Amino acid sequence: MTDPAPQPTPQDDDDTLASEYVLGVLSADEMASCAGRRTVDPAFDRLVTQWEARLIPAAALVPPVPPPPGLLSRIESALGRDLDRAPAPLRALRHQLLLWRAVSATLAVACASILFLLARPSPQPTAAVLLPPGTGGFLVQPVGASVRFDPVHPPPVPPGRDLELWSLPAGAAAPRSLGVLPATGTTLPSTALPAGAAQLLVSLEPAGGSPTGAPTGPVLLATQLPAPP
Amino acid sequence: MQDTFLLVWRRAERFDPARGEADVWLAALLRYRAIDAVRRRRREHLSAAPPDAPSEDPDALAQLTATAEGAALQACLGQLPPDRRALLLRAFIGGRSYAELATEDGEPLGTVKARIRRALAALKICLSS
Repeated sequence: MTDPAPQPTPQDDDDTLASEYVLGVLSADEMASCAGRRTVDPAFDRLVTQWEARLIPAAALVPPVPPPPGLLSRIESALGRDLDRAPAPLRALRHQLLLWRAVSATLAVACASILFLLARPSPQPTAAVLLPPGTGGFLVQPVGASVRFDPVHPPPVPPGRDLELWSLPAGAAAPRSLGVLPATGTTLPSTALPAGAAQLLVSLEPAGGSPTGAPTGPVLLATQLPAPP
Repeated sequence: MQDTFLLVWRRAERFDPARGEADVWLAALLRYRAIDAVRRRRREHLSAAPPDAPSEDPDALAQLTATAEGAALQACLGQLPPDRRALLLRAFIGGRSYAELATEDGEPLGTVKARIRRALAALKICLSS
């Protein structure tokens, strides 16, 4: 008598799902669902990371195309730095995608470079951000008279907690709350931020924000806003 | 505020300054956004002709040997039957979903899923040895 074939475990199913997510064959909804699940399910996140390590080298098969005219100078003005130190080369998917593939130099502690992902014929480049591994946060950028906070692999928020955003102007004694920062990001009027040099902080608070008007939980994120020129 | 700033969170227990990890993490991030953008474009341009399949010739695969991980993947891809390898590359490089692959090949969805899953399972075994 032979033993029956072993039944797939939930772990096997998750591993299959993780492989399909990294391969990119799932529907748009399923891709979004997996992306969200990674941030709250460390075991699933580990499976996905393992499949990324296996498959991502195949991105080298993407054939190169020259960048469209004007792209490099647009990036240069956005970065405000010498492009000779920027990552190269440019790779492309054959059908109307442009993909920057980073050849990372050193891993600095703070933000390094801004890379662009373009999907032609879109007129709007989408910014991607180079970060050290295992990190994430929010991309903060002015949009008109507002300031956008967009999640970039943000820290997971446990149930019953919220992220709260604070500003701490240079020389101020205590931070001022800018409200709860949803994990999906937010938009604030530019006037909500301090006029001069200040720190922006994000702390982990009870749901609804700190009850005391000051941070009560750990500061998870921080950045320095310089004084405007 | 003239420039773009980033609030950075450091997850200390996973921090590893190995360059290889940073490249994989970033390339994966850009790929997911690219796939999302491609899917949205295709919904908006339903009559767009499908692009060429990625190159399967040995010279193209030779580009993978630039890194140790690429060399291992190249060897394991080389062990797959050519039609399975082509299917995986259409999915990965071409950003195809299961539904799109099934439509392009005129095959049932279940058949395409089974083929892809078997090919991925074979890759996993090969890469772990």
